[in-house]
Amino acid sequence: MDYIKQAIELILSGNRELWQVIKTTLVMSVFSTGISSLIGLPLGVAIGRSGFKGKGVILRITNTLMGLPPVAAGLLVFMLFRSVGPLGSFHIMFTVRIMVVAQVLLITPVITGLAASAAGVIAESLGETAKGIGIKPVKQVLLLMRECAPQFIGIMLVGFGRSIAEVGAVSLVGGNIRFKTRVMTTAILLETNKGNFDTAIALGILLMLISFVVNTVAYPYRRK
Amino acid sequence: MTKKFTALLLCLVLALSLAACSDNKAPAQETAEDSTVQAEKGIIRLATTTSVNDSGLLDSILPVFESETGYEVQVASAGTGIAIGYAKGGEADLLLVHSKDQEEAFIAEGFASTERLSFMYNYFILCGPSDDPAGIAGAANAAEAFKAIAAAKAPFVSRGDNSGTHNKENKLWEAAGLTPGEADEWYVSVGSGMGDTLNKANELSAYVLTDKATYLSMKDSLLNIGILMAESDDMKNTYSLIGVKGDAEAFVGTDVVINTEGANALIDWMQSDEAAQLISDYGKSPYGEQLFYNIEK
Repeated sequence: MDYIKQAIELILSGNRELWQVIKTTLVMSVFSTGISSLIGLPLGVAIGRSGFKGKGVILRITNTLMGLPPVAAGLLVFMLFRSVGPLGSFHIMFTVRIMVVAQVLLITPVITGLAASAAGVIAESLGETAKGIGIKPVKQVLLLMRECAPQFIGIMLVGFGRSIAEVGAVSLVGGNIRFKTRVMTTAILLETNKGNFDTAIALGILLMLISFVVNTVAYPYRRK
Repeated sequence: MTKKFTALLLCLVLALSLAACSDNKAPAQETAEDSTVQAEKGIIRLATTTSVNDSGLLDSILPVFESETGYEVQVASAGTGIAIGYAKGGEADLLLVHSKDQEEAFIAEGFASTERLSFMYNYFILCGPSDDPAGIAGAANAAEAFKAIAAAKAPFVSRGDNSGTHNKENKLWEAAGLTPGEADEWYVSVGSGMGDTLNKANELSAYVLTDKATYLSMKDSLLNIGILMAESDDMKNTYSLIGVKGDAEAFVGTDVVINTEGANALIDWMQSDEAAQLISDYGKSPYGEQLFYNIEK
Protein backbone atom coordinates (compact mmCIF):
# COMPACT_ATOMS: atom_id res chain seq x y z
CA MET A 1 0.00 0.00 0.00
CA ASP A 2 2.90 2.32 0.79
CA TYR A 3 4.15 1.96 -2.76
CA ILE A 4 0.78 2.90 -4.24
CA LYS A 5 0.68 5.90 -1.95
CA GLN A 6 4.17 6.83 -3.07
CA ALA A 7 3.20 6.44 -6.73
CA ILE A 8 0.26 8.78 -6.24
CA GLU A 9 2.41 11.26 -4.34
CA LEU A 10 4.88 11.11 -7.19
CA ILE A 11 2.16 12.11 -9.66
CA LEU A 12 0.84 14.85 -7.41
CA SER A 13 4.30 16.24 -6.76
CA GLY A 14 4.14 17.82 -10.22
CA ASN A 15 7.77 16.91 -10.84
CA ARG A 16 8.62 18.33 -14.26
CA GLU A 17 11.09 15.63 -15.09
CA LEU A 18 8.46 12.97 -14.40
CA TRP A 19 6.02 14.67 -16.75
CA GLN A 20 8.68 14.77 -19.44
CA VAL A 21 9.22 11.02 -18.99
CA ILE A 22 5.47 10.32 -19.18
CA LYS A 23 5.10 12.56 -22.22
CA THR A 24 7.99 10.89 -24.06
CA THR A 25 6.58 7.47 -23.18
CA LEU A 26 3.15 8.35 -24.57
CA VAL A 27 4.47 10.07 -27.70
CA MET A 28 6.68 7.06 -28.46
CA SER A 29 3.96 4.48 -27.79
CA VAL A 30 1.19 6.31 -29.63
CA PHE A 31 3.30 6.98 -32.73
CA SER A 32 4.74 3.47 -32.88
CA THR A 33 1.33 1.86 -32.37
CA GLY A 34 -0.19 4.18 -34.99
CA ILE A 35 2.43 3.53 -37.64
CA SER A 36 2.49 -0.19 -36.94
CA SER A 37 -1.31 -0.30 -37.25
CA LEU A 38 -1.27 1.54 -40.56
CA ILE A 39 1.10 -1.11 -41.89
CA GLY A 40 -0.02 -4.15 -39.93
CA LEU A 41 -3.80 -3.99 -40.04
CA PRO A 42 -4.26 -3.90 -43.86
CA LEU A 43 -1.36 -6.31 -44.31
CA GLY A 44 -2.79 -8.71 -41.74
CA VAL A 45 -6.26 -8.59 -43.26
CA ALA A 46 -4.81 -9.15 -46.75
CA ILE A 47 -2.87 -12.17 -45.51
CA GLY A 48 -5.68 -13.60 -43.43
CA ARG A 49 -8.35 -13.00 -46.02
CA SER A 50 -8.01 -16.01 -48.24
CA GLY A 51 -5.94 -18.95 -49.27
CA PHE A 52 -3.07 -18.13 -51.59
CA LYS A 53 0.23 -19.74 -52.40
CA GLY A 54 2.81 -19.16 -49.70
CA LYS A 55 0.28 -17.99 -47.12
CA GLY A 56 1.45 -20.59 -44.62
CA VAL A 57 5.07 -19.49 -44.86
CA ILE A 58 4.16 -15.82 -44.51
CA LEU A 59 2.02 -16.57 -41.47
CA ARG A 60 4.79 -18.59 -39.88
CA ILE A 61 7.33 -15.85 -40.51
CA THR A 62 4.94 -13.28 -39.06
CA ASN A 63 4.35 -15.42 -35.99
CA THR A 64 8.09 -15.92 -35.57
CA LEU A 65 8.66 -12.18 -35.78
CA MET A 66 6.00 -11.70 -33.10
CA GLY A 67 8.55 -13.28 -30.80
CA LEU A 68 11.43 -11.12 -32.00
CA PRO A 69 13.55 -10.34 -28.94
CA PRO A 70 13.34 -6.57 -28.34
CA VAL A 71 17.07 -6.25 -27.69
CA ALA A 72 17.82 -7.96 -31.01
CA ALA A 73 15.47 -5.60 -32.83
CA GLY A 74 17.07 -2.66 -31.03
CA LEU A 75 20.52 -3.88 -31.94
CA LEU A 76 19.58 -4.19 -35.60
CA VAL A 77 18.23 -0.63 -35.66
CA PHE A 78 21.27 0.55 -33.70
CA MET A 79 23.70 -1.04 -36.19
CA LEU A 80 21.83 0.47 -39.13
CA PHE A 81 21.50 4.00 -37.81
CA ARG A 82 24.67 4.58 -35.80
CA SER A 83 26.98 7.15 -37.27
CA VAL A 84 29.23 4.57 -38.93
CA GLY A 85 26.25 2.45 -40.05
CA PRO A 86 24.67 2.35 -43.51
CA LEU A 87 21.84 4.73 -42.50
CA GLY A 88 24.00 6.90 -40.28
CA SER A 89 23.35 9.95 -42.46
CA PHE A 90 19.85 10.19 -40.98
CA HIS A 91 21.43 11.28 -37.68
CA ILE A 92 18.57 10.04 -35.53
CA MET A 93 20.58 8.07 -32.95
CA PHE A 94 19.39 8.75 -29.39
CA THR A 95 16.17 10.48 -30.44
CA VAL A 96 12.52 9.60 -29.93
CA ARG A 97 12.26 9.03 -33.68
CA ILE A 98 14.65 6.11 -33.70
CA MET A 99 12.84 4.64 -30.71
CA VAL A 100 9.67 4.68 -32.80
CA VAL A 101 11.55 2.96 -35.65
CA ALA A 102 12.66 0.14 -33.34
CA GLN A 103 9.18 -0.16 -31.85
CA VAL A 104 7.54 -0.33 -35.28
CA LEU A 105 9.87 -3.21 -36.12
CA LEU A 106 8.73 -4.97 -32.96
CA ILE A 107 5.02 -4.24 -32.99
CA THR A 108 4.14 -4.48 -36.68
CA PRO A 109 4.47 -8.28 -36.73
CA VAL A 110 2.29 -8.53 -33.61
CA ILE A 111 -0.43 -6.38 -35.16
CA THR A 112 -0.13 -8.12 -38.53
CA GLY A 113 -0.37 -11.57 -36.96
CA LEU A 114 -3.35 -10.73 -34.78
CA ALA A 115 -5.13 -8.95 -37.65
CA ALA A 116 -4.52 -11.98 -39.88
CA SER A 117 -6.11 -14.38 -37.44
CA ALA A 118 -9.03 -12.03 -36.76
CA ALA A 119 -9.60 -11.57 -40.49
CA GLY A 120 -9.29 -15.30 -41.11
CA VAL A 121 -12.34 -16.04 -39.02
CA ILE A 122 -14.57 -13.34 -40.48
CA ALA A 123 -13.29 -13.82 -44.04
CA GLU A 124 -14.55 -17.37 -44.14
CA SER A 125 -18.16 -16.32 -43.88
CA LEU A 126 -17.78 -13.10 -45.79
CA GLY A 127 -15.41 -14.33 -48.49
CA GLU A 128 -17.81 -16.76 -50.07
CA THR A 129 -20.46 -14.09 -50.46
CA ALA A 130 -17.98 -11.55 -51.80
CA LYS A 131 -16.59 -13.97 -54.33
CA GLY A 132 -20.10 -14.98 -55.25
CA ILE A 133 -21.05 -11.46 -56.25
CA GLY A 134 -17.66 -10.76 -57.84
CA ILE A 135 -16.14 -8.01 -55.68
CA LYS A 136 -12.53 -7.09 -56.55
CA PRO A 137 -9.78 -8.23 -54.09
CA VAL A 138 -8.80 -4.69 -53.01
CA LYS A 139 -12.40 -3.92 -52.23
CA GLN A 140 -12.73 -7.24 -50.44
CA VAL A 141 -9.86 -6.22 -48.13
CA LEU A 142 -11.46 -2.85 -47.43
CA LEU A 143 -14.82 -4.49 -46.78
CA LEU A 144 -13.20 -6.99 -44.48
CA MET A 145 -11.33 -4.25 -42.64
CA ARG A 146 -14.62 -2.57 -41.85
CA GLU A 147 -15.99 -5.85 -40.56
CA CYS A 148 -12.92 -6.34 -38.38
CA ALA A 149 -12.85 -2.78 -37.04
CA PRO A 150 -14.11 -3.62 -33.53
CA GLN A 151 -11.30 -6.16 -33.16
CA PHE A 152 -8.74 -3.65 -34.38
CA ILE A 153 -9.09 -1.60 -31.18
CA GLY A 154 -8.18 -4.64 -29.13
CA ILE A 155 -5.28 -5.48 -31.43
CA MET A 156 -3.96 -1.92 -31.27
CA LEU A 157 -4.16 -2.04 -27.48
CA VAL A 158 -2.00 -5.17 -27.49
CA GLY A 159 0.53 -3.31 -29.66
CA PHE A 160 0.34 -0.28 -27.39
CA GLY A 161 0.86 -2.50 -24.33
CA ARG A 162 3.93 -4.05 -25.84
CA SER A 163 5.26 -0.65 -26.85
CA ILE A 164 4.79 1.06 -23.50
CA ALA A 165 6.30 -1.85 -21.55
CA GLU A 166 9.35 -2.36 -23.72
CA VAL A 167 12.77 -1.56 -22.33
CA GLY A 168 15.57 -3.40 -24.15
CA ALA A 169 15.26 -1.84 -27.58
CA VAL A 170 14.40 1.69 -26.48
CA SER A 171 17.25 1.94 -24.02
CA LEU A 172 19.69 0.78 -26.68
CA VAL A 173 18.65 3.09 -29.51
CA GLY A 174 17.17 5.89 -27.41
CA GLY A 175 20.04 5.97 -24.98
CA ASN A 176 17.88 6.70 -21.91
CA ILE A 177 19.00 10.33 -22.12
CA ARG A 178 17.67 12.54 -19.36
CA PHE A 179 15.16 15.23 -20.47
CA LYS A 180 15.21 13.75 -23.97
CA THR A 181 14.71 10.04 -24.55
CA ARG A 182 14.07 8.72 -21.05
CA VAL A 183 10.82 6.77 -20.85
CA MET A 184 9.01 5.05 -17.97
CA THR A 185 10.68 1.67 -18.43
CA THR A 186 14.21 3.00 -18.76
CA ALA A 187 13.57 5.29 -15.79
CA ILE A 188 12.51 2.24 -13.76
CA LEU A 189 15.67 0.43 -14.80
CA LEU A 190 17.79 3.43 -13.89
CA GLU A 191 16.19 3.91 -10.46
CA THR A 192 16.72 0.19 -9.82
CA ASN A 193 20.37 0.48 -10.77
CA LYS A 194 20.72 3.49 -8.52
CA GLY A 195 19.44 1.38 -5.65
CA ASN A 196 16.26 3.52 -5.34
CA PHE A 197 13.98 0.48 -5.27
CA ASP A 198 11.03 2.41 -3.79
CA THR A 199 11.01 5.01 -6.56
CA ALA A 200 11.39 2.22 -9.13
CA ILE A 201 8.33 0.39 -7.80
CA ALA A 202 6.34 3.64 -7.65
CA LEU A 203 7.23 4.32 -11.30
CA GLY A 204 6.17 0.76 -12.18
CA ILE A 205 2.80 1.30 -10.55
CA LEU A 206 2.47 4.62 -12.36
CA LEU A 207 3.17 2.86 -15.68
CA MET A 208 0.38 0.38 -14.92
CA LEU A 209 -1.95 3.25 -14.09
CA ILE A 210 -1.20 4.92 -17.42
CA SER A 211 -1.90 1.65 -19.21
CA PHE A 212 -5.14 1.30 -17.28
CA VAL A 213 -6.28 4.80 -18.26
CA VAL A 214 -5.52 4.17 -21.93
CA ASN A 215 -7.41 0.87 -21.83
CA THR A 216 -10.32 2.51 -20.05
CA VAL A 217 -10.58 5.21 -22.69
CA ALA A 218 -10.52 2.61 -25.47
CA TYR A 219 -12.82 0.13 -23.73
CA PRO A 220 -16.21 1.38 -24.99
CA TYR A 221 -15.00 1.06 -28.60
CA ARG A 222 -14.02 -2.58 -28.44
CA ARG A 223 -17.12 -4.63 -29.07
CA LYS A 224 -17.48 -8.40 -29.30
CA MET B 1 10.38 -23.48 -53.76
CA THR B 2 8.33 -23.32 -50.59
CA LYS B 3 9.75 -26.63 -49.41
CA LYS B 4 13.31 -25.55 -50.01
CA PHE B 5 12.69 -22.34 -48.13
CA THR B 6 11.11 -24.19 -45.23
CA ALA B 7 14.06 -26.57 -45.07
CA LEU B 8 16.46 -23.65 -45.07
CA LEU B 9 14.52 -21.91 -42.36
CA LEU B 10 14.44 -25.06 -40.23
CA CYS B 11 18.19 -25.48 -40.61
CA LEU B 12 18.72 -21.91 -39.53
CA VAL B 13 16.47 -22.30 -36.50
CA LEU B 14 18.22 -25.55 -35.57
CA ALA B 15 21.66 -23.98 -35.92
CA LEU B 16 20.59 -21.00 -33.86
CA SER B 17 19.09 -23.11 -31.12
CA LEU B 18 22.18 -25.33 -31.01
CA ALA B 19 24.37 -22.28 -30.73
CA ALA B 20 22.10 -20.91 -28.03
CA CYS B 21 22.17 -24.20 -26.13
CA SER B 22 25.92 -24.49 -26.14
CA ASP B 23 26.22 -20.90 -24.98
CA ASN B 24 23.77 -21.48 -22.18
CA LYS B 25 25.21 -24.73 -21.01
CA ALA B 26 28.73 -23.52 -20.47
CA PRO B 27 28.01 -21.15 -17.58
CA ALA B 28 25.44 -23.54 -16.12
CA GLN B 29 28.02 -26.32 -15.94
CA GLU B 30 30.53 -23.96 -14.44
CA THR B 31 28.19 -22.99 -11.64
CA ALA B 32 27.36 -26.64 -11.01
CA GLU B 33 31.06 -27.44 -10.72
CA ASP B 34 31.63 -24.43 -8.53
CA SER B 35 29.02 -25.50 -6.07
CA THR B 36 30.43 -29.04 -5.83
CA VAL B 37 33.95 -27.78 -5.14
CA GLN B 38 32.53 -25.23 -2.77
CA ALA B 39 33.50 -23.86 0.28
CA GLU B 40 34.17 -25.97 3.31
CA LYS B 41 33.84 -22.72 5.18
CA GLY B 42 30.87 -21.18 3.46
CA ILE B 43 30.08 -18.43 1.04
CA ILE B 44 31.07 -14.77 1.25
CA ARG B 45 28.82 -12.43 -0.71
CA LEU B 46 30.72 -9.42 -2.03
CA ALA B 47 28.80 -6.55 -3.63
CA THR B 48 30.98 -4.35 -5.78
CA THR B 49 30.93 -1.84 -8.58
CA THR B 50 31.03 -2.70 -12.24
CA SER B 51 34.32 -0.86 -12.69
CA VAL B 52 36.17 -3.23 -10.36
CA ASN B 53 34.50 -6.31 -11.69
CA ASP B 54 34.78 -5.42 -15.37
CA SER B 55 38.50 -4.77 -14.99
CA GLY B 56 38.94 -8.47 -14.18
CA LEU B 57 40.83 -7.72 -10.95
CA LEU B 58 38.61 -9.82 -8.72
CA ASP B 59 38.58 -12.80 -11.08
CA SER B 60 42.34 -12.64 -10.95
CA ILE B 61 42.94 -12.33 -7.20
CA LEU B 62 39.94 -13.94 -5.47
CA PRO B 63 40.76 -17.55 -6.47
CA VAL B 64 43.99 -17.18 -4.46
CA PHE B 65 42.00 -16.16 -1.39
CA GLU B 66 39.51 -18.97 -1.95
CA SER B 67 42.11 -21.70 -2.23
CA GLU B 68 44.00 -20.41 0.80
CA THR B 69 41.02 -20.06 3.10
CA GLY B 70 38.37 -22.46 1.82
CA TYR B 71 35.76 -19.72 1.49
CA GLU B 72 33.85 -19.20 -1.73
CA VAL B 73 33.34 -15.58 -2.78
CA GLN B 74 30.24 -14.71 -4.78
CA VAL B 75 30.60 -11.37 -6.51
CA ALA B 76 27.55 -9.28 -7.36
CA SER B 77 28.57 -6.36 -9.52
CA ALA B 78 26.47 -3.27 -10.12
CA GLY B 79 26.79 0.49 -9.83
CA THR B 80 27.78 1.71 -6.37
CA GLY B 81 24.16 2.76 -5.74
CA ILE B 82 22.68 -0.68 -6.28
CA ALA B 83 25.65 -2.44 -4.64
CA ILE B 84 24.89 -0.49 -1.47
CA GLY B 85 21.20 -1.28 -2.05
CA TYR B 86 22.08 -4.99 -2.04
CA ALA B 87 23.96 -4.60 1.23
CA LYS B 88 21.08 -2.70 2.84
CA GLY B 89 18.76 -5.53 1.87
CA GLY B 90 21.00 -8.09 3.55
CA GLU B 91 22.12 -9.51 0.21
CA ALA B 92 25.82 -8.89 0.77
CA ASP B 93 28.35 -9.61 3.51
CA LEU B 94 30.69 -6.84 2.47
CA LEU B 95 31.06 -3.99 0.02
CA LEU B 96 33.90 -2.95 -2.26
CA VAL B 97 32.93 0.47 -3.57
CA HIS B 98 34.35 3.88 -4.47
CA SER B 99 32.03 6.65 -3.42
CA LYS B 100 33.01 8.25 -0.13
CA ASP B 101 29.77 10.15 0.49
CA GLN B 102 27.57 7.14 -0.16
CA GLU B 103 29.85 4.95 1.97
CA GLU B 104 29.68 7.40 4.84
CA ALA B 105 25.89 7.55 4.57
CA PHE B 106 25.80 3.74 4.66
CA ILE B 107 27.87 3.76 7.85
CA ALA B 108 25.81 6.57 9.39
CA GLU B 109 22.64 4.54 8.81
CA GLY B 110 24.10 1.81 11.01
CA PHE B 111 24.70 -0.87 8.38
CA ALA B 112 28.47 -1.24 8.77
CA SER B 113 30.30 -3.72 10.98
CA THR B 114 33.71 -2.24 10.19
CA GLU B 115 35.30 1.11 9.53
CA ARG B 116 35.55 2.22 5.93
CA LEU B 117 38.85 0.68 4.88
CA SER B 118 40.38 2.47 1.91
CA PHE B 119 42.85 -0.05 0.51
CA MET B 120 43.55 0.79 -3.11
CA TYR B 121 43.17 3.59 -5.63
CA ASN B 122 43.59 4.44 -9.27
CA TYR B 123 42.79 7.40 -11.45
CA PHE B 124 39.77 8.40 -13.42
CA ILE B 125 40.61 9.58 -16.90
CA LEU B 126 38.96 12.12 -19.14
CA CYS B 127 38.37 10.88 -22.67
CA GLY B 128 37.13 12.81 -25.65
CA PRO B 129 37.35 13.31 -29.39
CA SER B 130 40.94 13.45 -30.61
CA ASP B 131 40.50 16.92 -32.20
CA ASP B 132 39.66 18.14 -28.65
CA PRO B 133 37.21 20.94 -29.60
CA ALA B 134 37.19 22.34 -26.04
CA GLY B 135 40.97 22.32 -25.86
CA ILE B 136 41.23 20.51 -22.53
CA ALA B 137 44.53 18.78 -23.21
CA GLY B 138 46.53 21.65 -21.67
CA ALA B 139 44.22 22.16 -18.65
CA ALA B 140 45.85 22.13 -15.21
CA ASN B 141 43.35 19.71 -13.71
CA ALA B 142 39.99 18.09 -14.29
CA ALA B 143 37.96 20.98 -12.88
CA GLU B 144 39.64 23.35 -15.35
CA ALA B 145 38.98 20.88 -18.16
CA PHE B 146 35.30 20.72 -17.17
CA LYS B 147 35.10 24.52 -17.30
CA ALA B 148 36.57 24.47 -20.81
CA ILE B 149 34.08 21.83 -21.96
CA ALA B 150 31.15 23.83 -20.61
CA ALA B 151 32.48 27.06 -22.14
CA ALA B 152 32.80 25.39 -25.55
CA LYS B 153 29.42 23.69 -25.11
CA ALA B 154 31.14 20.55 -26.37
CA PRO B 155 29.10 17.35 -25.91
CA PHE B 156 29.76 15.63 -22.59
CA VAL B 157 28.25 12.26 -21.70
CA SER B 158 27.46 11.65 -18.03
CA ARG B 159 26.79 8.30 -16.35
CA GLY B 160 23.85 9.94 -14.55
CA ASP B 161 23.23 6.78 -12.52
CA ASN B 162 24.30 7.78 -9.03
CA SER B 163 27.33 5.52 -9.30
CA GLY B 164 30.74 6.22 -7.79
CA THR B 165 31.96 7.54 -11.13
CA HIS B 166 28.87 9.75 -11.49
CA ASN B 167 29.40 11.16 -8.00
CA LYS B 168 33.02 11.88 -8.82
CA GLU B 169 31.87 13.72 -11.92
CA ASN B 170 29.37 15.76 -9.87
CA LYS B 171 32.16 16.73 -7.48
CA LEU B 172 34.26 17.92 -10.41
CA TRP B 173 31.39 20.05 -11.74
CA GLU B 174 31.04 21.45 -8.25
CA ALA B 175 34.76 22.24 -8.16
CA ALA B 176 34.37 23.94 -11.53
CA GLY B 177 31.51 26.00 -10.10
CA LEU B 178 29.00 24.67 -12.62
CA THR B 179 25.75 22.72 -12.51
CA PRO B 180 24.85 21.53 -16.00
CA GLY B 181 21.13 20.92 -16.31
CA GLU B 182 18.17 20.63 -18.60
CA ALA B 183 18.94 23.76 -20.61
CA ASP B 184 22.42 22.52 -21.50
CA GLU B 185 21.95 20.58 -24.71
CA TRP B 186 25.60 19.56 -24.73
CA TYR B 187 25.28 17.72 -21.39
CA VAL B 188 23.97 14.22 -22.07
CA SER B 189 22.97 12.24 -18.99
CA VAL B 190 22.49 8.62 -20.09
CA GLY B 191 21.77 6.84 -16.81
CA SER B 192 23.79 3.78 -17.63
CA GLY B 193 26.82 1.65 -16.78
CA MET B 194 30.38 2.58 -17.69
CA GLY B 195 30.70 0.39 -20.78
CA ASP B 196 27.42 1.57 -22.25
CA THR B 197 28.26 5.20 -21.42
CA LEU B 198 31.61 4.91 -23.23
CA ASN B 199 29.85 3.50 -26.29
CA LYS B 200 27.46 6.43 -26.29
CA ALA B 201 30.30 8.95 -25.87
CA ASN B 202 32.03 7.27 -28.79
CA GLU B 203 28.88 7.46 -30.87
CA LEU B 204 28.41 11.16 -30.08
CA SER B 205 32.16 12.01 -30.22
CA ALA B 206 31.74 13.44 -26.76
CA TYR B 207 33.84 13.98 -23.65
CA VAL B 208 33.39 11.45 -20.88
CA LEU B 209 34.80 10.73 -17.43
CA THR B 210 35.66 7.06 -16.99
CA ASP B 211 37.75 4.69 -14.94
CA LYS B 212 40.89 3.64 -16.74
CA ALA B 213 40.32 -0.11 -16.56
CA THR B 214 36.97 -0.07 -18.34
CA TYR B 215 38.32 2.29 -20.99
CA LEU B 216 41.36 0.10 -21.68
CA SER B 217 39.24 -3.04 -21.89
CA MET B 218 37.07 -1.40 -24.59
CA LYS B 219 39.68 0.74 -26.30
CA ASP B 220 39.65 -1.20 -29.57
CA SER B 221 36.01 -0.42 -30.29
CA LEU B 222 36.15 3.23 -29.20
CA LEU B 223 37.42 4.73 -32.43
CA ASN B 224 36.16 8.30 -32.01
CA ILE B 225 37.53 9.04 -28.55
CA GLY B 226 40.84 8.74 -26.74
CA ILE B 227 42.49 9.64 -23.42
CA LEU B 228 42.90 13.41 -23.10
CA MET B 229 43.69 13.72 -19.40
CA ALA B 230 45.01 11.13 -16.95
CA GLU B 231 46.33 11.15 -13.40
CA SER B 232 45.35 14.69 -12.49
CA ASP B 233 45.34 15.15 -8.72
CA ASP B 234 41.63 15.74 -8.58
CA MET B 235 40.86 12.50 -10.40
CA LYS B 236 41.98 10.04 -7.76
CA ASN B 237 39.58 7.14 -7.34
CA THR B 238 39.73 5.46 -3.94
CA TYR B 239 38.26 2.02 -3.33
CA SER B 240 37.11 0.95 0.11
CA LEU B 241 35.93 -2.20 1.85
CA ILE B 242 33.09 -2.12 4.35
CA GLY B 243 31.72 -5.11 6.25
CA VAL B 244 27.96 -5.38 6.70
CA LYS B 245 26.59 -5.54 10.24
CA GLY B 246 24.57 -8.70 10.85
CA ASP B 247 22.52 -7.17 13.66
CA ALA B 248 21.87 -3.85 11.94
CA GLU B 249 18.58 -2.35 13.05
CA ALA B 250 17.03 -2.85 9.62
CA PHE B 251 17.68 -6.61 9.79
CA VAL B 252 16.02 -7.17 13.18
CA GLY B 253 13.10 -9.54 12.80
CA THR B 254 14.13 -10.62 9.30
CA ASP B 255 15.96 -13.79 8.34
CA VAL B 256 19.01 -11.94 7.08
CA VAL B 257 22.19 -13.87 7.85
CA ILE B 258 25.49 -12.06 7.40
CA ASN B 259 28.74 -14.00 7.18
CA THR B 260 30.70 -11.56 9.34
CA GLU B 261 33.56 -13.97 9.95
CA GLY B 262 34.01 -14.52 6.22
CA ALA B 263 33.77 -10.82 5.45
CA ASN B 264 36.43 -10.06 8.05
CA ALA B 265 38.67 -12.80 6.67
CA LEU B 266 38.44 -11.27 3.20
CA ILE B 267 39.06 -7.75 4.52
CA ASP B 268 42.13 -8.97 6.43
CA TRP B 269 43.42 -10.79 3.39
CA MET B 270 42.98 -7.75 1.16
CA GLN B 271 45.39 -5.88 3.46
CA SER B 272 48.03 -8.62 3.37
CA ASP B 273 51.34 -8.20 1.56
CA GLU B 274 50.35 -11.02 -0.74
CA ALA B 275 47.15 -9.30 -1.89
CA ALA B 276 49.01 -6.00 -2.23
CA GLN B 277 51.45 -7.67 -4.58
CA LEU B 278 48.68 -9.29 -6.62
CA ILE B 279 46.81 -5.97 -6.88
CA SER B 280 49.82 -3.96 -7.99
CA ASP B 281 50.81 -6.62 -10.53
CA TYR B 282 47.33 -6.78 -11.99
CA GLY B 283 46.84 -5.08 -15.33
CA LYS B 284 50.42 -5.46 -16.40
CA SER B 285 49.62 -8.58 -18.36
CA PRO B 286 46.31 -7.93 -20.16
CA TYR B 287 46.68 -4.15 -20.51
CA GLY B 288 50.42 -3.57 -20.30
CA GLU B 289 50.11 -1.16 -17.39
CA GLN B 290 49.34 -1.09 -13.70
CA LEU B 291 45.64 -0.40 -13.05
CA PHE B 292 45.35 -0.32 -9.27
CA TYR B 293 47.70 1.05 -6.61
CA ASN B 294 47.82 0.00 -2.95
CA ILE B 295 47.25 2.47 -0.18
CA GLU B 296 50.06 2.02 2.35
CA LYS B 297 48.82 1.16 5.81
